Amino acid sequence: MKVYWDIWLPRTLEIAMLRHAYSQDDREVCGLLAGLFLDDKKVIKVEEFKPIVNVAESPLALFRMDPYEQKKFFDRILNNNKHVIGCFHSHPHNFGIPSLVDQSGINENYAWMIWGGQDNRIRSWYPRDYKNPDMGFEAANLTVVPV
Amino acid sequence: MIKVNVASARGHDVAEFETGTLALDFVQQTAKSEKKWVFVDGEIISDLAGLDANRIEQANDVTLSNQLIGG
Repeated sequence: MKVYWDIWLPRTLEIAMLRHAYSQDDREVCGLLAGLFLDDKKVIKVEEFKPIVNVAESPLALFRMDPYEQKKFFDRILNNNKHVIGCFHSHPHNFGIPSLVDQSGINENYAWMIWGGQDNRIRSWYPRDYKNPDMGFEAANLTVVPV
Repeated sequence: MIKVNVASARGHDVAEFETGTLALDFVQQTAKSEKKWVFVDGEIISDLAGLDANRIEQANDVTLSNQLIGG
């Protein structure tokens, strides 16, 4: 049976993610998502988006989340019995399709949401096997919901 | 016992070690092979080779966290 992820993203959070992407022009932005896993962890309901500073040495092509902000977010979410359900970043000059660098960065079993400047669209993905980055990503179904 | 927290999106796991040397070995190997940040009492350790067992033993909190990177 095909593994399949369905992601519900409130419109308000989609707007926040787009604004974050637009805010840095040519530089990549990044952030983290918190929410709930439903239906045996194949349905994700996004409840929070937190922009994280990109500390990569080459932010025109890469992102590296600020480790202190990242840890603070993880601690807050996990201590409140919630879940870190994904990450977000931007490809200002390309589509929101995972790059080989993204693939090599797979180390969490959560969703990847990528905004592409080419078509101004957020696409969502999940790792086929987060312990084996070479397996790459599978497209997830992203549904933007009104609230 | 010396505790090392291993943080991920799935939650925090705790690894326990009888000596600082064993904990240090785990921290250095895991951080390198699995691309993790090392926090000792909230401070990032950028020079992993310079971290010593005594500091691990004296610390109130040792946490490993995935480096979230891409491009």
